[in-house]
Amino acid sequence: MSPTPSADRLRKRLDALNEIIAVDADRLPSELCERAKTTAGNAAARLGHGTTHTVVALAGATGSGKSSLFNAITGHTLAATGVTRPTTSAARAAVFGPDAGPLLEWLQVPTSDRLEDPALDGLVLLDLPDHDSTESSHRAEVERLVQVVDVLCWVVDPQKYADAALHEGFLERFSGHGAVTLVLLNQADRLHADDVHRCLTHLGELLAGDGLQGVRTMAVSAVTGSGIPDVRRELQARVAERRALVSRLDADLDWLSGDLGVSVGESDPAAVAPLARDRLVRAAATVAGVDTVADAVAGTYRHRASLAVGWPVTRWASRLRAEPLRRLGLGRGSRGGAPGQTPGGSDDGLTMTVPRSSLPAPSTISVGALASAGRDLIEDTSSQLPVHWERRVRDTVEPAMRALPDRLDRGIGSQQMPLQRPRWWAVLGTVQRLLALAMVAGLVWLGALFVLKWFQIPDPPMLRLGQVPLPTVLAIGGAVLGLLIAVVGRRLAVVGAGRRRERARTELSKAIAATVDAEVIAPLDAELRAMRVAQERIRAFSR
Amino acid sequence: MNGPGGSTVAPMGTGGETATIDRLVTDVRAMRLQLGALRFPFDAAGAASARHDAAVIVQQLDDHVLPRLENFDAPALVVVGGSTGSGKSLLVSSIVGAVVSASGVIRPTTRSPVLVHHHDDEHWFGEQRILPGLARVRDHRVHDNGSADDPRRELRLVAYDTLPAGIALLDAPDIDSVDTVNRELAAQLLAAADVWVFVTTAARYADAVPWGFLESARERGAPLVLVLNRIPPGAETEVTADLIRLLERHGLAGTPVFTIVEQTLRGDELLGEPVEQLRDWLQELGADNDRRVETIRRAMRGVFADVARRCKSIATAADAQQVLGDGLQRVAEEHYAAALEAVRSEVADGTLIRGEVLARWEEFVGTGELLRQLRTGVGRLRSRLSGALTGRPVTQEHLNVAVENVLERLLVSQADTAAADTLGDWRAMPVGSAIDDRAPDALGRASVDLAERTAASLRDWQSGLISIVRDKGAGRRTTARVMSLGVNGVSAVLMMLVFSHTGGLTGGEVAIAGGASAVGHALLEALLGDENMRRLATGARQDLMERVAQLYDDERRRFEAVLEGAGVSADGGDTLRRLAEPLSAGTL
Repeated sequence: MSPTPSADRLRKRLDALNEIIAVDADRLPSELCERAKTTAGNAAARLGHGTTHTVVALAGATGSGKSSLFNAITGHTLAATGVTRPTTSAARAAVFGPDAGPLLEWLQVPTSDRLEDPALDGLVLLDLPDHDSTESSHRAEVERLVQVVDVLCWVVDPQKYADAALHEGFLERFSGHGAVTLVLLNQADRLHADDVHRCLTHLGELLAGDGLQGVRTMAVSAVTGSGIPDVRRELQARVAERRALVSRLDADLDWLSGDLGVSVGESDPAAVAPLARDRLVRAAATVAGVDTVADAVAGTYRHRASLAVGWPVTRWASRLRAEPLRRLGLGRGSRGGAPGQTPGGSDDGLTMTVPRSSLPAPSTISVGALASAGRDLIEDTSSQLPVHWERRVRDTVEPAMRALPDRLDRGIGSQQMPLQRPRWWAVLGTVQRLLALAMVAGLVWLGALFVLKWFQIPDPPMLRLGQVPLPTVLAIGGAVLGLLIAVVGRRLAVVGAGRRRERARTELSKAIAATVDAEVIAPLDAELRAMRVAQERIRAFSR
Repeated sequence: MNGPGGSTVAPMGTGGETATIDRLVTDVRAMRLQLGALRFPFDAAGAASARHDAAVIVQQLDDHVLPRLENFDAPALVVVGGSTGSGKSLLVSSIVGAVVSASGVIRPTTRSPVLVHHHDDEHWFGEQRILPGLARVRDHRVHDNGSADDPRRELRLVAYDTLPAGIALLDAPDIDSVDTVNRELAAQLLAAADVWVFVTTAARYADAVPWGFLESARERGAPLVLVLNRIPPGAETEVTADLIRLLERHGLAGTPVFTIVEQTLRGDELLGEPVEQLRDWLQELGADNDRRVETIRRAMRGVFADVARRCKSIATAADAQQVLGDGLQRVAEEHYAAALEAVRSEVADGTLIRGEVLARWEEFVGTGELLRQLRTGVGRLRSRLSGALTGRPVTQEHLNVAVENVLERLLVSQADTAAADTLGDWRAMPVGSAIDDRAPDALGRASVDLAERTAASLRDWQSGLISIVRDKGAGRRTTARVMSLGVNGVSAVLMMLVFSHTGGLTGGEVAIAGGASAVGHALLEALLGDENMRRLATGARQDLMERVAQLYDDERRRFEAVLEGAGVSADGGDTLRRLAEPLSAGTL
């Protein structure tokens, strides 16, 4: 049999379903995912057995006459019939035409008979056990087989045609399978002719109530044989068409795709809104202690400036204090040598060498605010999503939020602080050294003069700058100018420190934002994007 | 009548018995109320069946037990029930000897139950005594069926004297058709029966649904008669033997079985000879008053034993529900207690006075200067401070707002965490999903108006501090001093002390809070004396924590409301066990 357009279409749909199962399994409700896998597996297996055979199952309640009808249709007494209930406890098959061994093996129907009947060539007729007796194993067998046969032929009788076990247990569930469903009202011989008609009409109404409008119903009698030729003709037509298999699988996929479509919800998962992200970044900056670090950067800058351009006479006092950044564990590990004068001259900025800072623990308030921002984020992004996706968003964000404070700390630790040594430090530092030198030279000179005077040795000729002796100029001028430059240097340092505080704040905030993006926003956006793609895929499948 | 080894109560009420029965009625009513009040919202083992059983028992008590306890001499209600298409209506009509209920080929045939009784028993069935929930119509015409879409069903009463007095036959709807109302109504009617006549057919007798009903008849020891209808001619022996085998397997050996072979009937023709035996059986039951009353009593004892037994498992299920509900409640309590504790430790260890509050405090008093003043003596300090405190109301307002802001943020964020943690834990619990449907939208967050309520409560607290200072200071030596500084200023200092006065700050906290603490401590000690100051600070902190606890209680109550909405009552199981006690004691 060459593949028909509808078979091609079915294969395409199956491929689409398999892709959904492969890629989006985690994004489906687990029960639905299982169903999708079963459906796809059954469909592939059934297609693998080809369209040579059409499997028709006679299913129904105990005592409706499935086995009698089976015998009547095949024209042979194959299945045992009886008056005690239930009679049939295992499915059996009648195979017309070519061998159906592998197919029956797959259907797990071990008992079968090969029959020759050119009219029904290709038919595999199954006699199923009942679905409503106290033997629950029978029902399980029926449940299994109605999932996989090509045509469902329900046998009912005047007593049982309105049973809830049939309508609510099976027919309502298979309401999408009308094209491959037949309903036979057996034991029609027990009714008056006009009652048969009334009964069939009512049966049609009940079927319509189950969602099976326009399903073929026929009154038959296995005892008198009335209606049996019609049933055979109907089966013959279905077998000849060889479309039942595809229709059945199509109906399976329709049923599944409806539920898949519902499961992805109405609204599209939108990307994280900038507002929600910014709120999270701000809260993260507070927790990370951006202000504290920025202040420490400013303090460190002032500290180093005072070491570089302070008055050399009092500079040693500064050296006794630790740098603020170092106190936060953000300095270098080395202890020896003045900062800023480290050999190698590579101390342009500070690079973190230990993984953790010793920033003071963030306040309970800021930690709480960060958690709240995380919950806001979950709410903003998932409130419109189906429940299982909402849970997925939670499962994506919550662990990331728990890990975030630690990541933020590392992020701060590895951040370059804007502490490059400005050129004016070197200039002013040199000037300071020269002034100090001058002051010392003046003092030594004056001291020498004092000693000479004390020993009554006459003064050597005095060098003067204007009226003032040169040593005095050197000593006092060096001291005054040195102090002046120290004061100017401090002023400049305060301005520079302020500027660096702002720069540190900006850069740290950027680093925090990058961490938040990498740890929380990016995974969430990726998940939301994957949801959108899954939604597209599933909607395309459902159309 | 003295039953062999059974109850010794006479059928006609003596004074003593009336009292016993009256007490029993009271007991049963109390138990019925308790059963009706029990809820099983959590999907735990046994919840679904307990829910169902409780509803069924309540119905059974209303429909049958309570009316019957009031009158044992009233006619026995024989309910003819069974599958659709088994010929119940034809059977009832045949026993009565007239078409009282329509039979036909359209399934289900009977939708409204028909009750046939003797003229003399009219008063008993006419009133809403038994089956009080069903409206009565008196109509001899055999109706077409009501619509399947109409869920309201009436009990049609028909009086026929072919039926003996003391017996009423009820043609019940089917137990297994697509008509849900029929199935529910049939179950209700069978539960209200004194005697079951259960009809099945040769095609039906192995169906699962009828055996479910027969099982429940066995459990309550209902007098049971089985009718096997529509047997194919010739198969009578074989099918009957198979049915009896099934009866034995289900513990119903010895049940009387009446068999009827499939007949071809014309028009309104009724069954004749096949129902003779059954009719005789009923005649006998109706004619012998003593036997009937004893049958009814025995049935009632069976019902009581069954109800008592089922109440035990319902009580167990109720216990389980309570345990689950308590577990959920405990989770909420733990998280809010943790939140309260977090607030308490934040308040106590002084970390709140960082940043904004500290800045405002420094603005308020000027720490450095104040410290210097303290060393030079209280007298000069007072003059300094009175200027600082009374003359700068704006900065004091700033301080108050800063404290309020920082506390509000702390409280709201902790409440938010507690709510999220509670809901998260609830969801993770096996029964949490039952809660999810009931939970209002924003349950997992702090209430929207919590910030507002917190702010209001904190402002109350701050103004409360003022009156504390005023009251404690009144009538003492300190009054003048306090007054000279201004009550507001002192209360502001006291407020700061609440956040820092721990009697033992350690390490970094001293550095942070020390300044404020030391200033406040020294200042108030100077003004009020050490002991007085301690008392005031402790009192103020207690007041604050009580307010926080109150706010968190309100927050937690949202979760408790969800649990209450689910309706698990405390001690529901124990109460039911106690109330069911008289039934199992077998006082009847």
